Amino acid sequence: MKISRRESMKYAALAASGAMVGSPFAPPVLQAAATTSDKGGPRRFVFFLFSNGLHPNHVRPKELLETAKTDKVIDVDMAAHKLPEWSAPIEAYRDRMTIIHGVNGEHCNTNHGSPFGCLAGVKKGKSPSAPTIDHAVSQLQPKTPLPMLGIGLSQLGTMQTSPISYSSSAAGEAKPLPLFSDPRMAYQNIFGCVAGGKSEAGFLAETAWYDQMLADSDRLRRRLAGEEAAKFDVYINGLKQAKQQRLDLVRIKDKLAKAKPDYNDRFENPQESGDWWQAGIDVGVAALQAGVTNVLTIDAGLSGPDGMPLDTLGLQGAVQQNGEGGKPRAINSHYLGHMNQMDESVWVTTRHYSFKMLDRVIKPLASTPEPGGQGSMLDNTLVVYTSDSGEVQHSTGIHWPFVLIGNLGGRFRTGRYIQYPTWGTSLNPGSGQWGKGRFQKRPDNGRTINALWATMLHAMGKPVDHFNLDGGRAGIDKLGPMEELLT
Amino acid sequence: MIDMRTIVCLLIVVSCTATASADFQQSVRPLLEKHCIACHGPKKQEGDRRFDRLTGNLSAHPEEGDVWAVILEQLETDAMPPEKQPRPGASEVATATTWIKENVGQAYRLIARKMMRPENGNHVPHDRLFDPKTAEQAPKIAASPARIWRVLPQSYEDQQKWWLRAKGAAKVRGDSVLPAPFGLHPEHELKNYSFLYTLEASQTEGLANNARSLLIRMIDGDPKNDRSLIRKLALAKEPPGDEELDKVIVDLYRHWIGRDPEDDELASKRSFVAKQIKTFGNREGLIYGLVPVMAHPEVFFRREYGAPQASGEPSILPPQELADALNRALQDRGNSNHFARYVANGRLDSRDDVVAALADYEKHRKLSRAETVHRFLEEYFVYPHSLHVFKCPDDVKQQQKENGLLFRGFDATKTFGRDKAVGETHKVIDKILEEDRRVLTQLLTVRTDYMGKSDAVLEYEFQYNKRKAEGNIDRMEKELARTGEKKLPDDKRAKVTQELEKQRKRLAELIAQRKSPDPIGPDRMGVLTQRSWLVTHSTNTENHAIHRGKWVRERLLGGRIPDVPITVDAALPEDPTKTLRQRMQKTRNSECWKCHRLMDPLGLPFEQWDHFGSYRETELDRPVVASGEIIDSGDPKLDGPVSGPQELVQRLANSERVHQVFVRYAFRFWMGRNETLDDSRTIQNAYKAYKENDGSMSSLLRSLLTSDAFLYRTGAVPKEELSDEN
Repeated sequence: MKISRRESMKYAALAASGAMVGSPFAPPVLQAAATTSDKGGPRRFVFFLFSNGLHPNHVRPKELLETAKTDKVIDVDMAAHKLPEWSAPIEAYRDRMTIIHGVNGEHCNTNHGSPFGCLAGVKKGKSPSAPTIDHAVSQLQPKTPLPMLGIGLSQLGTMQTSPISYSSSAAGEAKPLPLFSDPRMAYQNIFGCVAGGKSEAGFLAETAWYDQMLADSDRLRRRLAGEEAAKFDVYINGLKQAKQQRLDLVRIKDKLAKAKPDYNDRFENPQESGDWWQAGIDVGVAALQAGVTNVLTIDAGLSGPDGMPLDTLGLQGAVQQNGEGGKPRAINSHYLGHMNQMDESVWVTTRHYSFKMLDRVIKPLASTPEPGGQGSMLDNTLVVYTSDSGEVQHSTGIHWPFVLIGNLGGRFRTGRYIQYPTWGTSLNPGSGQWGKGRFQKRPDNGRTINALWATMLHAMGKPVDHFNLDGGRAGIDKLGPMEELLT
Repeated sequence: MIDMRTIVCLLIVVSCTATASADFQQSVRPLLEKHCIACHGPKKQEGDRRFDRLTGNLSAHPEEGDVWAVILEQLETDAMPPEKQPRPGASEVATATTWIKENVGQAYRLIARKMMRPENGNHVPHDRLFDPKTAEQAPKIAASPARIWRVLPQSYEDQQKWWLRAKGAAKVRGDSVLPAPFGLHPEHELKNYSFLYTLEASQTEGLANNARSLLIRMIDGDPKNDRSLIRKLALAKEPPGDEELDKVIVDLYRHWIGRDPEDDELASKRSFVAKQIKTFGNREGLIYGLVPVMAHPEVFFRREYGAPQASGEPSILPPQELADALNRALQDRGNSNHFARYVANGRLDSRDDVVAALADYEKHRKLSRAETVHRFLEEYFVYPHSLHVFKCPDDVKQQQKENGLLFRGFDATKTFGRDKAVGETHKVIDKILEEDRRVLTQLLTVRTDYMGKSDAVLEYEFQYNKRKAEGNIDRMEKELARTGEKKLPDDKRAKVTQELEKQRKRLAELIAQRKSPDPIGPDRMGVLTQRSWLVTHSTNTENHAIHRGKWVRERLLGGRIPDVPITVDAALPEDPTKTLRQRMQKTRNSECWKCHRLMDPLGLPFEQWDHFGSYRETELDRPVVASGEIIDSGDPKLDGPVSGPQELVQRLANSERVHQVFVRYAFRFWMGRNETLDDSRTIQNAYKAYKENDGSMSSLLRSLLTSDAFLYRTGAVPKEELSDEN
């Protein structure tokens, strides 16, 4: 282990932020640090995860294919290169984007998706084992009504029966953060107070829940004394805070009214999954525009292989004639991930769809002036696009690509193509078999997904040595941010 | 534990700053100047601490609270000044600590809270705890403090499942439940201490949204479902009447809270739901109206108030609270609420009633095999954590190569076979608990084969597989023997014949393998030599002898290791040519050895296995050295060098002290708090019950669950003392 005790203790304050938040005695470490990052306007983050893998060649100019095998960091200007056909929908942002290749996340066990693993840089699990980066950056933001907002997208039936999902984000070990899958519920929770009619009444009814719970709590509290009473007061204050959050939303009613998305038929009578994908994303973007939050996470696919919007992709009931085993195979969400992302045209359609959804986030931010500042909202935003499943569905996570769009108020370099030396070698970089690499020891300058997330914290004015590379993960990467990404 | 009166007194004293300040100059300042300020003053600030500017006046300088807590702890544990420096006299220390406790309430509270944490359970001196005189002096009834105890995340999740099932809601994604947005203490300690947990804003919000989500799921569930009154009312055209609403609310209270609502509660909830129905109609109105019932604080916090009297005497838990406490003490999941029936029959009012109720329970299931006993042993040994220690896949492949049989069939990208290793430990433990004799001795010394299976487990598996193969053979022979119309067609006949041959071969192999021991490695001995425990206490590339030693020191010897001083760089030197033992020579420096002598020699014997828990005889082409030593255990018979892990473990297993420490941990687990000297009688009785019944876990648990600490509470505000202002 290369971390000194002093360094690790410094870090522990951050990494363990979620760990004991439930304790009445834990200091609010990250909140205290927020003051250091309050200068220079908002720093918004959007994390967009699209399940079933992001094939590296989907975001690699063809002429840079040979750079896939490298033992040093390749840092190329994107201006001279055109994005491949899969990335056509985001070609327009080429000069505002940085594409990163060769990030290692093998320890997240990305195969089939990595719930609570991807955004934390830890092994995936049904329950989170560490705080995720969206939560960590949300704790460094100036106060907003919601620290962060999560939207979870899947197939229509799943979203209807599970309006709340838990898949990508967490405040710490065993503290998953909810994502809104039902856009009506998301809209109601955030814009209900300016929606008029029943929605507005619904917002007030939700606020009244907390009065009910406070009254019930009072019955319990009255019988307690001393330390136990103090402990229960933390809960009561939490209820008051949750209620206050709603009152804070009422306080910014004007902004909400101005930014609220068009509550159309798509919300109430969705015909296909895509209707709710669009509705959910619109609520998320409007929340950013209204200043409800500065951190938005969109988990498209709920960090698993079964959440692809087949109906919208035109794949409902589709069959791959020469499928696995040489037989005709029905294409379901999981099987779509099995298909060769390089050869199959459905993967052009699928990737395009995901980028169009991404553009649905970027475009409104690019066209909205920064409130009280200069330029557009996108100028103060960093959009991170990747797949929680690593490079393909059956992945090892050693060729994990990322697309960053925006520069977070000039803090990130843009227009760059950066390839890190990979931990493993692919048998055939040109094929769809990216997941079949061979694990090796860390190459010089090779970096993990944890370093990428640590870089985000650096950009937020929180210069940590690493993010979640503690305990059993200690020492699998060098300390410090990915310098190549920062200005 | 500090009660309210103490805090009030302390606060009053703290506010008398002038007096306090004067006392400070006389009581504490001289000691600080004589023994501390040379290293923590203007010239040097060891550990970033500086004491020369302390005023002792927390009203004016609240930031001093933390520093005083550190000073108090160091003085009370005799950790400072450093060993070679002159030490203050006992009376000097007593004067100073008394002053701090009396005047710096915040420091006292901080340290009192610190001592309540699970990692500080061994703070109470072992010998005094087991001294019969201490038990004699303990209070007549050694009760636990009145409290609320947050439910376990798995209990909350399971409760959803039972509710949805009971009411016939559609199965969604294989009965998926909404995860609890709260968890347990993440450290490798006993996890479910009542004082550790509360809920915060984002969690309460998540729970309210979960409740809404569950109601939607219930209403929009299976259209054929007619078991849910909520669904029926939601879909009805007419608004529900008061009687129907009451039924829904009472039903929810019973399921989620475990009691009926009181009259005023019912009236308030009914009125709230009716109001929402009037505004939103049946469906939405029921959802909006019922969320506060399903997110009621008592769904997440269980009451343990007792029936407090104005006299302040401890009181036994009322039947409802007692039934709930017993349920939680024995099961984490499920919704059987086994002890509720005794409440209804009025048979849960006294200790004798609890004894009888437990006896009833044991007619169906041994206490030693209760769900919670497994969780206790998981938290005690920490072995399931092995699943979370990252291992380099290259190393895994090497392991697979060297131990082909061991790793066969496991996916290198997943858990490297460790889930199997954890499973084996589960099985071994289950067998020991089933037998329920000499439990800790067995846990420490049971012989298992190289894979980690005990003889009992091997025999069980053999019999199971044999029965299965014989059953298959029998069935297939009968199929082949059919004649007439029932005769198998030829193609199927050929298939069955082929399969029959396979099964016969398999049976023969099973019988043959039973006789030939696994040749890969020697037997293991107890949980501490199982792969799961060894991997738990390893890093991603090597063994963690220090953590292993720390575990033995704390969990078996009842010792305490002071926190690592902040100035210490706790890293070992990296040198691929040296073994871990050689690199650990660094800890022999005098300033490190003071603490490391308590850990390292207890952990080094386990160097007999590599960081995957595989047996080895050489390391870096040199013979493995697996010797160690027990130092200052508190039991002179235990102390002395050991030649290897087996001798270490055997000696520990023979020690009475080790068994007593095990009982202390069991007390903490089931009471959800650290013991104090007041609990001395309860702990001594529990140990006696365990020892006299041949090391029976059931007896230990029976003693704990009928003890004062479990049954009695003190400190809640009596109902009659409540006023509107409260």
